[in-house]
Amino acid sequence: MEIAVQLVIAGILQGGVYALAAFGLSLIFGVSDVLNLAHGEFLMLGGLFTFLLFSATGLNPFLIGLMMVPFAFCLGYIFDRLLMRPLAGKKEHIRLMSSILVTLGAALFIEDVTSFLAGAEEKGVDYTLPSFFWGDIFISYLRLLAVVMIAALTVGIHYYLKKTYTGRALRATTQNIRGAMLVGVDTHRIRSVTFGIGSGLASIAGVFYVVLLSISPDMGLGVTIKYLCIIVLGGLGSLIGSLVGGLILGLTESVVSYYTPHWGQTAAFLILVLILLIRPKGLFGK
Amino acid sequence: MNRIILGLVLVFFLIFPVFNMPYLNTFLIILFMYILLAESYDLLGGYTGYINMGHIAFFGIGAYTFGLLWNMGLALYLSFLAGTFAAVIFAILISFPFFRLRGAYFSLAAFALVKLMEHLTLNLSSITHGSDGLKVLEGNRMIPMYYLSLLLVIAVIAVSYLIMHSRLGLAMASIREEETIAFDFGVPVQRIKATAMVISASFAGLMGAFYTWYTIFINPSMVFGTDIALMPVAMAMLGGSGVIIGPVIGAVFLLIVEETLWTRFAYLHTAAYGLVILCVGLFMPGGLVRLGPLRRFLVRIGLFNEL
Amino acid sequence: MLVVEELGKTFGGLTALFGIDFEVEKDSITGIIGPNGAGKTTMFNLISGTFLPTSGIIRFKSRDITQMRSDKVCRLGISRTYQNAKPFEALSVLQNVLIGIFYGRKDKPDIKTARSEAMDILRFLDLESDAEALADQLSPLNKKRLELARALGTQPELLLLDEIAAGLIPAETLQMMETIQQIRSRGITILMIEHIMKAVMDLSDQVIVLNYGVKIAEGKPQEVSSNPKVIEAYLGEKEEAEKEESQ
Repeated sequence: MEIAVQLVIAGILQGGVYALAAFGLSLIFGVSDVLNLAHGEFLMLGGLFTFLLFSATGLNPFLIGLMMVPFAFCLGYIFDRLLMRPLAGKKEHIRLMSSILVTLGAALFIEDVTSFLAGAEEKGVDYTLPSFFWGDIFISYLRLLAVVMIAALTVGIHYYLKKTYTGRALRATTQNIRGAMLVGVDTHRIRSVTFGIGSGLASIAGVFYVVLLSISPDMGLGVTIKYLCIIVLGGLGSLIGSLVGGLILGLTESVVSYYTPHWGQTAAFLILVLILLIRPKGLFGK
Repeated sequence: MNRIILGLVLVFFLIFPVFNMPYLNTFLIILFMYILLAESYDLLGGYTGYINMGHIAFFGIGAYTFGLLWNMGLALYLSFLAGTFAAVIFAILISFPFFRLRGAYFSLAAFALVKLMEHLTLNLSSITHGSDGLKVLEGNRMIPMYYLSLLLVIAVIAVSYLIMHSRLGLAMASIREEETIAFDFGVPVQRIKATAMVISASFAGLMGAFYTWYTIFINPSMVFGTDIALMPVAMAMLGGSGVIIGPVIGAVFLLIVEETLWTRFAYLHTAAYGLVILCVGLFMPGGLVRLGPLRRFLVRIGLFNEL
Repeated sequence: MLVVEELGKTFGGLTALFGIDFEVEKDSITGIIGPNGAGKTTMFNLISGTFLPTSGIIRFKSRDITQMRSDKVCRLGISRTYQNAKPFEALSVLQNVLIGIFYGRKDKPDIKTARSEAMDILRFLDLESDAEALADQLSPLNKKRLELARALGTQPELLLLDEIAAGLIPAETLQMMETIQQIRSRGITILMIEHIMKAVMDLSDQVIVLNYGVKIAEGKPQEVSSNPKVIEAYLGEKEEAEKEESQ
């Protein structure tokens, strides 16, 4: 019984991390309607810089992560401004093709340069906080912190989208780009801002990766694909969708891996494909 | 005049093995393989607009089906056919649910399918030997593989040409342009898309079978891996989707770029590679083949066939 | 030719049409007018089979086509043009028409016959010289003509025109009106949504007026244009626009 609860909690935590990065990607996709294959790179870079700064200063990695968010935001903003804006006006399948080429090229470039500069091995941050037992269940402060952060971020993002001007402009652009333009929204800027936010979220997820798991320069593409699948599973631009999608995947991996090792990822993809076939627009897609 | 040049090019490739240059010979085999994969991908992607990032699944299924059946004692030719057949059946099966998805959704779901296949072949190791890989009867098959690949490439190009000038091709293009309106005008959209996918899959599947026969050893990441999955798609787009010679140009370009970079730069060749792909995507959205000068040249020699 | 009874359509919580009745006679030109958002295009979509009605019956030549999808409806003899002309952009003018000929009819003509018929249609619509041009390179007027050509390729008995005169200069509008009359004289019944009053009133044998999903008037053009309810509906729209401007 405790094992089951343990697994569920681990799954939820994993799923939460997934949801975080996935949500950023979902926003980006919702606003720009392109496939961003470079998203995982921001995650990797976030984790990498956290590792580097932690090795140099020993500061709490989560603090480092938070400090890096503005940088990640700027990087994402510039990325969109330079590379994605020119693609905005094209016809759908041409835009899709171009975005695949551009972001794939960018991802390969970033991965290789990073590998060259920082070394290709895996890196992890050993940052331990005490753990405690809740009844018979083993909980680490670290993971608890992760949950709290994710919850806070989720609430924060939700608030941002509902209450602030840019947040609402963002949602408007997701739903109807022409309508948003008509009402005076600068859709190009909104898209760049969204990209920045998405990248910021990805870099935070990267911090979790480097602390709880590990990161390596070549992880980007694999991670990106996984997150793209999650947002498609959950439905475009839907906060709940990415959360649920991430949670489902996290739980599936956690539970299945325990009983039949190696099958965790497989089961996750299987569920993804199945759900997509039943609900083509994703769980909460429009 | 053009026919003569084409004929000469063809003859050149047909007699190439006579020159006894094994390195180039192997390179050409790989080139033909990628051309085949890119062309067969484009039959669905370029003509109907459905970007199947999971195209390589057909290749991998053909590869594994061939390997397993041949090892079990099935005759060689039947095993080749079985590989093709397996890919075709798979295509028919997934066409029903997958074609309910559109645009990026379709592409991602298709890609997820490939990842799924990769994981399944890794984990069902009792059947597929998992990461240890599948091994078949040994033999030096470079020359026959060269000719088989060349023939298959010629076949896929011929079929593309036929489709492009047929009713089927017209229907496929109408789906790409305005799918709902095409349906309004009576185009049997589901059937056409499925047909395109099946034709696309059959070529990839057969090539997969040939591949196993040639390389003797395959494992999940060789035939279902992310890199090999994205290559044909990138090649077709980069060369020019929807134009027969587009994927050919894309394949040649990327392979030559890769070779050159690999030999010139000890480090960072993948980065340069990525940069090249990025620039083409950004500045040449129609692919290399639609660049002014190249396009004019190809039109002049009659090789620019666009759907 | 066409009978519509109690036709209604609800999308989720929003009702677009509340039970429309009307009839269209063979070889007639019927105009459908009404302020924006009245439900005109929705009604077209129901007749053409793009959407299925939530209530009501549609009968075409005494046959119930209420639940019929757009491809079957097309083959049965109803064809249409679209509000913002949407030809198959990357295909040639000729190819656009061929689609309708190959797939939109009950019979399956061979390539030779199809081509010559397509050229006949293009000739009729003065697009012959543009046969090999790509659709997206055409002028707005020619794009609309292409939509007509594409629809005619399916040998329709009933043609639905959705604002075919929109965005045309007056001289072009006159040309379009003439073309429509020529189409009618070939034995094709026409049902057209229009905002250009001159076009509707001069061409139509009967006019149907919709507002907020309800039919508010029907009859000969003169009757309808002097109908106080119709005037109010349009005036009301004008008043709304003026009110918003002054705010």
